[in-house]
Amino acid sequence: MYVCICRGVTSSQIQREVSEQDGKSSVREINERLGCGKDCGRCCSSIKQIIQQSGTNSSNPA
Amino acid sequence: MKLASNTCSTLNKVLTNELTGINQHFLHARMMKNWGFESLNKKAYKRSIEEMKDADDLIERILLLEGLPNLQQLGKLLIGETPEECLECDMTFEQQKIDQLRKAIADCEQAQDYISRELLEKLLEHGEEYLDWLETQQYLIANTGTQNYLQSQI
Repeated sequence: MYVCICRGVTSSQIQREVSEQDGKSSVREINERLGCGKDCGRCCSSIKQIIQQSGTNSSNPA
Repeated sequence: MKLASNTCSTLNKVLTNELTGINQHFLHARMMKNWGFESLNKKAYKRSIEEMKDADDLIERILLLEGLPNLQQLGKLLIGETPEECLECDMTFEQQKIDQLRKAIADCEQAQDYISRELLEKLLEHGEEYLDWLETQQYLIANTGTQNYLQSQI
């Protein structure tokens, strides 16, 4: 789904970005790279949640 | 006519959700239209207009209670990337809305604001009807397959 409506950034884009950085990205880094969270800022909490979930998944590989 | 101030705040919270719903359903409708799913477009468009009428009733009620309807506040839009995801997002949104409405109805009952309660009951009925339609679509997707379902919606 679309996480940042202002810049049209999707959850899969964020997940991909996090996995490329081995789950060590911060919200600020993601915002810098994808351009999200810079207009209304309403998506920042959702971005944080996705980073946390992706981080947990990458640290526990199946 | 002035009532307890918390009634206006309750109604304003419901209004925020209605305004969010108008935009979410309208965007989904036009995304569906863009993808060629005319039947899903019509359904989401109708829901958006219904929410607009519900928001209108809320605005009038808040003004009657000498409050100020907050049309500036908007919640987070849940927008899907695919038709199935759009339906899922709408379902999450409607469920949240129904929970909020049930709480608001109880608050109005507590404040003996029976007219607001009646108005919110109508909104709850609309929400439940749409949630039921969304559940039917989920059932159809699960039982007929995504491709068959989407073909039936062209």
